[in-house]
Amino acid sequence: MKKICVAIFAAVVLMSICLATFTGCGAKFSADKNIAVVAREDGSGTKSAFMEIIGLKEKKDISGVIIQNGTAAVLQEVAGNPQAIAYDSLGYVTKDVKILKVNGVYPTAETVKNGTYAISRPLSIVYREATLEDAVCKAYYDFLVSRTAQDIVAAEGYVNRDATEDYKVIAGLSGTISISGSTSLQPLMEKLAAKFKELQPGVTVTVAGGGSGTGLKNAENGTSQFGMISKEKKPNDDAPSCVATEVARDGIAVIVNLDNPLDDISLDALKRIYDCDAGDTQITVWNQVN
Amino acid sequence: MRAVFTIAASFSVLALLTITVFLFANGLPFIFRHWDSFWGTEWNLYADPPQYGILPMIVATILVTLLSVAIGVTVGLLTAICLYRLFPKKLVTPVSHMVNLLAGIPSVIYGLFGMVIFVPFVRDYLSPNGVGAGILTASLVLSIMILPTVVSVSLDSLKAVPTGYYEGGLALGATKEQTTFRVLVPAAKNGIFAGVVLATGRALGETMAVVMVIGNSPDMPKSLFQSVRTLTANIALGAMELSEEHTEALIATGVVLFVFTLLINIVFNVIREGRREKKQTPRKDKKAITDTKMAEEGITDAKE
Repeated sequence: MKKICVAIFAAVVLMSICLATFTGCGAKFSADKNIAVVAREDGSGTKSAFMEIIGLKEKKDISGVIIQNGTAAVLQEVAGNPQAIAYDSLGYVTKDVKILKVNGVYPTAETVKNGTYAISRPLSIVYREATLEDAVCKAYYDFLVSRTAQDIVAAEGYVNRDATEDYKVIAGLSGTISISGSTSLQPLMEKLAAKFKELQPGVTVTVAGGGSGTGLKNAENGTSQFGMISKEKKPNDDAPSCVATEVARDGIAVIVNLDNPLDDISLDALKRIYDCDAGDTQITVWNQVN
Repeated sequence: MRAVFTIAASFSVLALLTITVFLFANGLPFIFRHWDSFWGTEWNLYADPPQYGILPMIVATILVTLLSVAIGVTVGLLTAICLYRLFPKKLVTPVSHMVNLLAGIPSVIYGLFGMVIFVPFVRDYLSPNGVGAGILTASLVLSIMILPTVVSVSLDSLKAVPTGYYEGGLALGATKEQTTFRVLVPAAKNGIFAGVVLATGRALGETMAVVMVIGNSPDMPKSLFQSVRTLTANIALGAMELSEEHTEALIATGVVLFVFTLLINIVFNVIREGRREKKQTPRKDKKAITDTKMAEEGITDAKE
């Protein structure tokens, strides 16, 4: 009995090692199978910007949607699921997924800037006006709109704002700044904060995520000096006493798995995939697209 | 000195009271205000008026908990029995250490593990409709998480059974397997039951791992392979929200979850008390019955 037990045990251990190593190798894209629609959570600026642009402003998700928390989790889902489609920040997308053209236009910094790529939104910081009276915060603000920072923005693949002057270093500046909010702006802001640390070693800038909703909330109640959002700031939203300044412009890329043969998708098809009220016109299977 | 201990003890009571008061004070008014919407089936914050139906999430939570406890307790109990009797002595210590190590792994790592391994596996090989996320995947992940609790508690309660039971069973001619399953396990019932209660509590409250593998679409569960949302996932996903109403809706969800936990604890306690009473009364009844019978037949002493 003991020997049988040990034999079964060893077999199970071997099987699980095989399972862990080879999972995902059998997955293949199939045009007849369902589209796995992936969306962001409700506090996401990427989500509200995307839904508004494709014409589904403030509508709930379709039933059966897979909701992932944050920009990185969406990438992970699409990279692993051959049937998936999702939207994600253009600056964040990696080579693990495939970016689709929308209405024939491929998203790049130029097409976002000149407006031919339809789906883009501003990445902004929100803050109370009183925050800029503090010397440390004002210095960081000046840095963000300077050419020094905007060159980094352009290098990272985002659309930068026009800036003519370099940042002027202030000697002996020290303090801390807390920034939180959109996970789409977070990686860019972390690079900018690192550059700022080089220029002003006495100032520590901490960057956290949490989504655009968190960014607005924290800027409004003072938890963070600057909040990050990835959608248009409206005057009557949840941070009424804050103002916004655009740091960069970002396209929202429509991404699919690398195995998917599709190259181009129309805005109308996108709407019919994500629309909960589409009824008969709803696209649920990949070979219905185009 | 006694004051220090009293303060420490009252700290836990204070924490429990604060949480309870906060939940009920903020959540109950909301539930009564939106009574019809709350027990409905649609969760749509953008509708006009917003719909706060959490019934699908209650169903999903119950299903996930039941399925994960079923899987986890079965596997855990069999593991404990295996470790107790059927394994060679040399393997018992390393294997039980490995099982206990599972308890120390953070739940977000379980979520990652589920997302990267279980979801593709279920999607490609088990799912009839090509969806990897769902109740089955979440239950599988949760059952691994509750395994160490069940195994260690069951093992301890099996070891507490007097060896005389086992030897007596063998002496009466039963095989090792028969003795183990028919004598030892029933004798260790109470301890195993305590392990089940702990496991259910953990499965009910687990958030991070579930959010990553269950899909999170607020639909009524109709299949094991459908993207659904649990109560804990609902709170976690919406926790970053701003509007007062939405935050209140989440606190109300928390109230429901809290009541669930209370109910489960009460039910388990009642079952345990009931079983204890059943154990103690039959003896008294039997003696009473024998005495009455003997009195009826005119026998005063059992000597004849």
